Amino acid sequence: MNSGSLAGSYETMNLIKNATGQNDVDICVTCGQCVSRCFLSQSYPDINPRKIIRKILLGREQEVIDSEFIWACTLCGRCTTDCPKNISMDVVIRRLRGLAWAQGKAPSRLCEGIEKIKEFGNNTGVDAEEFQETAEWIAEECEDELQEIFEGASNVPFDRKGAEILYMPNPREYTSNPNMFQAYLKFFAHVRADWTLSSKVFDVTNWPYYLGDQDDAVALVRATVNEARNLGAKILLTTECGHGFKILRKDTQAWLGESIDFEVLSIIELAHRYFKEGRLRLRQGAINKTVTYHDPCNVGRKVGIFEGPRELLKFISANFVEMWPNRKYSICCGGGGSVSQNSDMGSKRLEHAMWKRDQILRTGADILTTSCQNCLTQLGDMQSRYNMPVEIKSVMELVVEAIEPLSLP
Amino acid sequence: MYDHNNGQVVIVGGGIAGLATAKLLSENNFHFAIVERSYKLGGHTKDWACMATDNCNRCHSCAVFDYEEFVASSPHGEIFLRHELFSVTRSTSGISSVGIRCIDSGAERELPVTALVLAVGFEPFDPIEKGFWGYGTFEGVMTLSDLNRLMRLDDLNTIRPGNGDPLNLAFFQCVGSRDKTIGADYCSQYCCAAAIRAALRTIHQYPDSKVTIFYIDLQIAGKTAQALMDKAQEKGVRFLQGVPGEIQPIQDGGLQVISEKDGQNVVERFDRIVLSIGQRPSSSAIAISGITEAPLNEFGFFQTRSQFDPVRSPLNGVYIAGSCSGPANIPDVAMNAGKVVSAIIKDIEQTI
Amino acid sequence: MLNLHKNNSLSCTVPNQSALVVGNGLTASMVVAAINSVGLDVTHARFGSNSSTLFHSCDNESFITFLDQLIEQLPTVEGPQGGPTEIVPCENGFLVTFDSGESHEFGSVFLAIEGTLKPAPKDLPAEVTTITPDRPTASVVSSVCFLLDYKEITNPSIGAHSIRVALENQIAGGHSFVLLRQTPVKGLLGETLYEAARLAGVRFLRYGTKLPKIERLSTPIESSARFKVSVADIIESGEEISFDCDCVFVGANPIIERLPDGFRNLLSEETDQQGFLIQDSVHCLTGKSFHKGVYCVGPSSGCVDLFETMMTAASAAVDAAAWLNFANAPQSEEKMSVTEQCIRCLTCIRLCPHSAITLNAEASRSNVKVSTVRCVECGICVAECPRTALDLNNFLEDSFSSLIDRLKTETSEDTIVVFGCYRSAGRAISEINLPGNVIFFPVSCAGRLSESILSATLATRVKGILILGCHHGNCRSNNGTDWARVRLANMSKRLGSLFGKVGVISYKTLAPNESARMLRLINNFSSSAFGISD
Ligand code: SF4
Ligand code: SF4
Ligand code: SF4
Ligand code: SF4
Repeated sequence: MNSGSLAGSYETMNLIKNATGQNDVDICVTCGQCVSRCFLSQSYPDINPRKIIRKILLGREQEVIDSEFIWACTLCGRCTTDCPKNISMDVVIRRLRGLAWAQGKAPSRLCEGIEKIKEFGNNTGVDAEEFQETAEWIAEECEDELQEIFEGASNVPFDRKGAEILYMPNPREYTSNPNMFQAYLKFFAHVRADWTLSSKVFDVTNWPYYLGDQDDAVALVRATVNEARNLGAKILLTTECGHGFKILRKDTQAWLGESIDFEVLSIIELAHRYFKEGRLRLRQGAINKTVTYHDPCNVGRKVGIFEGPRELLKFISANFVEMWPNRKYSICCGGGGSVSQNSDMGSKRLEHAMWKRDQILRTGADILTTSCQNCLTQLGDMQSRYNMPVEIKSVMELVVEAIEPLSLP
Repeated sequence: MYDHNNGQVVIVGGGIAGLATAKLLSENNFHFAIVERSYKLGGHTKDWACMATDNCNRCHSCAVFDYEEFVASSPHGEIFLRHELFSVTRSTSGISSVGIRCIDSGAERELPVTALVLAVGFEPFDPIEKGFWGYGTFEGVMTLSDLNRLMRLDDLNTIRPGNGDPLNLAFFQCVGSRDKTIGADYCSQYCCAAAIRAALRTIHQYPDSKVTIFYIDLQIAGKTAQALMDKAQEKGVRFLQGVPGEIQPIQDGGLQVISEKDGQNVVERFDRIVLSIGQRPSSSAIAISGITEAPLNEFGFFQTRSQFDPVRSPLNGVYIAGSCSGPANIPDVAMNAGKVVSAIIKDIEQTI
Repeated sequence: MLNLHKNNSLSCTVPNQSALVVGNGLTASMVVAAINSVGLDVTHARFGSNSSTLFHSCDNESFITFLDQLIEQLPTVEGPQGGPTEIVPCENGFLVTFDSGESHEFGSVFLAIEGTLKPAPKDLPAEVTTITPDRPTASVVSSVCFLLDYKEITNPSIGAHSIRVALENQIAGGHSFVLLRQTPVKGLLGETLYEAARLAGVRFLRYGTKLPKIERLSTPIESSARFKVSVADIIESGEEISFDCDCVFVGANPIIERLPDGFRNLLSEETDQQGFLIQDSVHCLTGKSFHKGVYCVGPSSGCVDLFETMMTAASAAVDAAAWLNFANAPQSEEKMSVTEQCIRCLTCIRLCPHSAITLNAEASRSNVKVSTVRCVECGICVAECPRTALDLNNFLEDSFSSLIDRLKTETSEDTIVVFGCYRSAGRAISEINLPGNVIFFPVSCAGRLSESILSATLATRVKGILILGCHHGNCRSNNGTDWARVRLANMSKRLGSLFGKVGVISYKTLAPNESARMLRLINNFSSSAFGISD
């Protein structure tokens, strides 16, 4: 039996409490709900969310800080969805990661990413000029299709003051996954969006958030908000992203301590809005397959976007099936919360994803959709690892496939 | 000698609280009128099963029969089934009369009132709100009331595995109680003891049954607590701290949960899982509060004057009986009725 | 107001509207106040300690206000000092004799004494003391640890008291720790207190089956910590925390003080293993004993908290008022008739669970007298009277004779007779349809079925007799069901050879809400009576 000390317990408890203004971990009633909802419970049989809280209370947080678990946790928040005392496990884990980072125990790939962000403003090390060139090059690759929608649609707008929408991409779109960017370009063209990119801020992700590095996380948000203000955007539109979108949407005002006068929307929300308004016309049943949808933890559980993507998918697909459990109770893909960026987690993240795999296979769907680039990466890796007989697409990719061109007046 | 034969007390609600209040009133020379929404007297208690294991385990649910018989045959009272309250007329000292209406025919009538007792009871928590537990989706997940219904109908055999294996039953405590997320950050007071009794009753009928009670914080302090716990331990009821947050159905028709035992996460299988659902404010509390202006507290139960004056509404002439002022078990409700009647007697004496 | 009786005569006049409260602490005060609110006259006999185990001397504001109001309202009429040496039920009340030898008559009597605390468990260091009303002051003590639920569930009052003191100590600048298995929250009241303490910084450490370890530190230096406390966490995963503190208190539960002789004799049949009074709670839930007009409130009735004591006091008072109302009302008819057959063997007086039977002191008659207001018509006495001198007017012996006559003529091969107590089986039957071969006969109590009735019924050559009594512990007459069981056992010993040849007889217990089970019991009995096992 190991013994903890009270002094340490108070310190960490207060740290967590003060940092968040909530998450008074002392209030935990050991109800045990979180034990069974964590998809890591079987991969790490001797640790679980509740135990982490108890260790903190008993002054043994160092054991947790040193554990691999805090880096395997995807910050999915599923464990504490219904926590009767409103504790948010993802916040607690991020604080613990912050402590680990301060002790020099953070995974190296994440630390490198942070260095790059400090230097370039994004984690890939792409500078403004390179970004602009790449974006234009990707647009050229599908120039014909864009020009067909309307003349001039292949021109990528940069730094347009007064544009209604400032679009914030995920670096994957201009590095490993350009076809996503193309899909968005087509979408913008079809709906005749009044949009722009920024050549200064072009990364929606927020790695310091993953590391519990609150100062840098806030700095990134501030830069994004300033740019949106500077350009006078009415809508700060994020790509299909999880944590980056969730932070901008949910945490901005609290972190910055000021209100913002523009909307933060995910591109699937905008698509859904335009669809309802008739500005986005889709061909009903265009996708002649069985489609299912994975609720990304950030988009779904944390922000509460459940029905929009479903409405779109149900409309365009011949057959839509649900996974169970879904929506608020959706199981994490296993790649969130820095896990898929963290090379130390290597293939483990795929081994941890059994719940998700089984859940997907049970649906028997042909196409698995989601609306988070991180989930897409993880699901894609799972597909090749486990030979899952599904095709993986983002909701927007599928929506763009189903667009019915506007007849121009 | 006091004599209140000129007074009539109108009691809204014919559950155990209303009946107990009526009995004591009638025995103390009052007239009473019970206004009950449903077709029967007795409320939830009437649906609960006996928990005796040859020896009475003091679940108190059969007490309702004595109350009902007394009240129904009392020459001092009237009972209005399928009626509801729709108006009150105030006087300087409180309430002088109430209007009641028949739910079926719409016929209205006015009843003179010396005191108005609200005894509208509680609403059982509907666990469908808690999707993780799959109530209403998985066949094997039931509530404590469902289990009681089975026992009442002597149908406990229907939940035993068909192949003759022993029944492996689990209780999940605090479902819908002690939970901030649904505005019920309180203990429902009855469910720990009720689950232990149900466990004992199950083992009594089928001695090979295995019963696990997953709990958060057993609240069975009080007179019979230690004896009940000892009995449970003797009969092999297993107590595990921590309630699994999710139930998964498995191939063989069983239910699977993950819990923590001796520091390890373990997967366990049960035939049936019983959710010990908590008490929520009555569905008619808001409407009745609107009609009478008797205020509700933060949880939606009727407010009382103070912690130590737990039966008087802040509104003169209105008394709160039973679980509509906060969750309670049967003996507490019946005792509370005594307090209500004593308050009424005292207040009337003071005004005379 | 009081009728002073010089002689010890057993016949007494109507005691009007008076109640006697025996006790010396807060419980007694609450009972006095409650009785006063319902308009009865109160006499307060001080007996026992006033060191209330409820530990009411605290600084909780609303609590203090409440107590002040309570004390203010008290119209206490001081009665004789000391406890009653004898309590004898009489027609409509009790004749109570006190230490001093004087006797008074009361309509109802309330036992409202306080408990005493058990000593601290032996396996703890000697310096660990039990939690008492006095508490450590922060100027002397900086860290205090309260150990609750140690080996038994702590009384909710003592739990709440500990949390209050812990809170005070914390506010005064000390550190408080509360070690417990389950949070002593009773109702919203308790939860508020717990939350206030938690927010003030009181540390609640919950432990599981592994008990905390308290060690006296071996080399105590002046004014430094004296104990080392180690607690294994509630989730039992092997996590433990230890810390030093200045003093440790353990919550010991109250046990019942020595009852005044009068109560001890009166209630001897009605105490449980721990010495707490078994209350007739299934039927009335108001702290009633089986003796009408006798109430037990507070610690003497078991592990109760302040709130529960207050509620019990109020409802017992209301019930007492109702009882006096009933006892003083003109009674329309005698419930029992007593014939000249009576030989004054006193069997019935000894057996009546309600003390309804007394010797008839009227010179012209040399038999017993049954109080109409106390008798509940169970008929246990009727069944046990060796001379069949007693009969219940509403449940006549003759009805059994007619049943037996009927059985003699009507019985077919497969007739089963079910005798059921009207309170349980008699109610349950309304929801079911009996098979055609079953004759149901409601009785006033399973204890009414005498051996002679059972043998006579068996002798009609019915196939079987099933007796359905109330569950043990839920008999309105406390032990009617036990009587049925005992008589059956006796009969099977004596009539061993008869069983199986003539018919079978069996006994089961039931509650009114067990209609479905009743049907199953009857069907199972039928099949076994016909040699079919289920
Ligand atoms: S769900 Fe919340 S209260 Fe329950 S054990 Fe987990 S952290 Fe504690
Ligand atoms: S992975 Fe998700 S469920 Fe598990 S601890 Fe982290 S936030 Fe909770
Ligand atoms: S109190 Fe409960 S257990 Fe006892 S006999 Fe009545 S119903 Fe059965
Ligand atoms: S009585 Fe028990 S199960 Fe019910 S809410 Fe309280 S602690 Fe939970």
